[in-house]
Amino acid sequence: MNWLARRALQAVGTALLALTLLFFLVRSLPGDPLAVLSEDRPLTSEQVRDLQRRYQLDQPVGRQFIAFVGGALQGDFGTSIQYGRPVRQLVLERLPRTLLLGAAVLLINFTLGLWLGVQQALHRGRPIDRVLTTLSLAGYATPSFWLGLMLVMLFAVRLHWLPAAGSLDPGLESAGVASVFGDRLRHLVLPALTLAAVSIASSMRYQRAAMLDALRQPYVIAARARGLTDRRVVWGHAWRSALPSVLTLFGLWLPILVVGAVFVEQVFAWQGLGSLTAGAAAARDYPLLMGTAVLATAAVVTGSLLSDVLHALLDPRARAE
Amino acid sequence: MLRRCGRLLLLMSACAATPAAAQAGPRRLVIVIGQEVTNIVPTLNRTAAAAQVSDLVFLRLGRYGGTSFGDHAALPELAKSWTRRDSLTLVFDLDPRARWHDGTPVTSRDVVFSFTRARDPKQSASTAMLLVDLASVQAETDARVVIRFARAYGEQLYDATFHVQILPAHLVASIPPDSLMTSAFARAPVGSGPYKWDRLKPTDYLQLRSVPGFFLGTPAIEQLVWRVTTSQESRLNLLLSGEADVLEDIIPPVANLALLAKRPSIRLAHFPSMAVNYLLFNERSPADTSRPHAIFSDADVRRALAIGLDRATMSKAIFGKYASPASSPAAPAAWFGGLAPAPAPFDPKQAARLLAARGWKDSDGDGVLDKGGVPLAFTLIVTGSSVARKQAALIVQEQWRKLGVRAEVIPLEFAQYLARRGPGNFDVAAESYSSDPSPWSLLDRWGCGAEANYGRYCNPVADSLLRAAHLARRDPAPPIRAWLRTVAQDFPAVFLFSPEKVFAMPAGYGNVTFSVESAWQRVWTWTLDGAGH
Repeated sequence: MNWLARRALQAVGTALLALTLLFFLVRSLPGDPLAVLSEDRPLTSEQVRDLQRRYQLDQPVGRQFIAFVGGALQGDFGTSIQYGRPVRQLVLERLPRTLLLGAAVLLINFTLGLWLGVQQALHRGRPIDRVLTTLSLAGYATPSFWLGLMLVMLFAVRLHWLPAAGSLDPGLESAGVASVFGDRLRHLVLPALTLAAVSIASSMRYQRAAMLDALRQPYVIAARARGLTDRRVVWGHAWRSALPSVLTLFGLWLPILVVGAVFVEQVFAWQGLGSLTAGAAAARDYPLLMGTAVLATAAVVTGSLLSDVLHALLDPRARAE
Repeated sequence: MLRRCGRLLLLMSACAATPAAAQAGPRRLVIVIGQEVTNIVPTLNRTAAAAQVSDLVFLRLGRYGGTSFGDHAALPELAKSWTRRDSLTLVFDLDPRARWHDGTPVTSRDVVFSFTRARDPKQSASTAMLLVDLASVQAETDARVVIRFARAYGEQLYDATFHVQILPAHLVASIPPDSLMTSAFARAPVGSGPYKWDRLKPTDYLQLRSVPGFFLGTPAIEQLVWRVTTSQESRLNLLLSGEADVLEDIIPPVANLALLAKRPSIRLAHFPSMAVNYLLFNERSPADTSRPHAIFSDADVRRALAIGLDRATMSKAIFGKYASPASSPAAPAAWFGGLAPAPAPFDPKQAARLLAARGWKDSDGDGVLDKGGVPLAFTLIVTGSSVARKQAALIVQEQWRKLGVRAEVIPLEFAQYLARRGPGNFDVAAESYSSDPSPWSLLDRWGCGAEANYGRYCNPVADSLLRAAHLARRDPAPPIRAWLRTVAQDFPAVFLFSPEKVFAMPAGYGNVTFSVESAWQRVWTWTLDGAGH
């Protein structure tokens, strides 16, 4: 329990440090959020004063930081300068889409990816292992936006099988829940496939290495000697002991759920948190940028903590360390 | 395994995406754009796309009539007619058929309320600046509004009609100005235009629905849907996959034209824009704006750099045939655009002579001209988000290199670009500006000391010409022509070209009209018979 409390405290400390650094770094970037707002027609000095007051930009940075911390503790990240709407509202609008895409990718990576990794280990050095290694590494090396565009060209533009972009067909406003759900899934296929294709290699490689290591262990050899079926040996003994290192990977992947993937979101007009964050950074929308940063930092720290906890649960030696 | 794959393919075919037009027929038009539209309430909308949608929901007293001068500067919209009482007073009679989308009649109270709001610097500072010449707006009867001006000038009707969209006083007056942005009205606005607010799925789409029995004529297209994606490739894919009907601004790149030409179901619609692309010279030193720029304070050098550019070739490379050469800040589409002189012809030899005459020679043989040991070298900043301006900057760099001029192109993200342009921390900036239909608005960019005059160009004679044009009550053309000629001769910038708006859209619509000042303003007059483009 002490171990867990210590790790949790470390995680909170890390998050606070990261957010503090980010707060001051963001404000040191060149560019004025109000200038972006005015674009072609410069704001009058009265407008500038009003806006500075509204967004507390007329305050010293230290005081802005205190206001940010005070608001954040109450779940209030202020109003977006770019959109003129509460940051919380904007984040909550996009969060479900990001979670959906991230969860789909994690599901593919940690089901198909792990199964393929096990198959590679079982067929080490054989053609199937070499083919899967080549394919997964090719996917890993492929730029996601390029792969996304190719998939769109094939499945949306040429074959008309799947939608090219967006997350909902505007024509379905009066359709039932099932139709809307089905449409969401159809829109999800290509972005999820793209992201999975470029990321599945790491879970496959991790699983392959861990499984190879496990298959060499004496207890696995003993299990075989006892006459257990291949299935029991592989999934009941070897895979269980290979699991902790892969679960560590799961925790590190968790931030994808929140941060999303900017390029893929752009190619598929999948309006998630990734594109919101990129837009906020480009427009120097400090409140929005900090709102999404809080979420991203929380995901990274939680993912890391979760990794440690899972690892400790599966391997008591980790707790002792 | 093969059987499983076959089943998956069959399933995907069954779920095949249905083209937008085929899905609901041409009564629904899906437009794909690059800017998000979240708020269309006049003066609160923050993007050009939002303003265009707003123009379909909120009407003005009159719409732009093709000129900003005289008493024919507007065409009837909420006002069915207007008369002049004297040189300072215009009287507007409202159309008795005009209704808000909730059924309430549009009255003079709404007009007075909207003008009061628009003239209040605390509520709408930008509009208030444009309406400084209005002295009062009063309701004479429920259907008659009297607008008095502080002075006699030629753009009175334009000012009274172009800048202010009318809001429903019975719904908005009770909302504190600070709360309007987040009010229920902003989430579901009620206007008086041909289309009413239907729904907004934030980040997915915005939908307007036609108003049956709209007092100026029922729109044939029943639903207008705007889908948003910031990626240009993604916008094109939505069109090609049939999920969108109309794609705005398909060029650059010009390669898109060839791609779309292969699709007989798609046609191109193009119309002139009010935008002019130009390379702005900073006439003051970036390090100290109180001192002249070491290179660009010399008008002959600016002239040489301008005539040393082959703008026609550049324009063709970036926009194909869809751009016109420019010689001044006035776009050819502006009513006064035709008064501008012809662009200075491409003449690299003359450019070299001019530079040599000003003492710029390649004394050390390094390919770059120099004077007193200082090379003719400078930076050219460009915003990375504009494909056209980035392409132009690279072509310019190469053409100037042949003259012995070294321009370092610096692509900047938009916020950084603005941070450098505003205080004058640049040598040359690749700019694009869409002016209002009034020549008076150009003073904001090119007038001595104007806030948006980032290059610090100043010619008091030019300013006085534009002021004379603004105050002209009869023919403003002579002073405007003189102003355009003066600016063209001063070369405060290299005016490159005015790109056209090129839209890809399906065949099948008739009476297709786009408005220069607001592209979709006349979409309600389109027909479904495919005639009269």
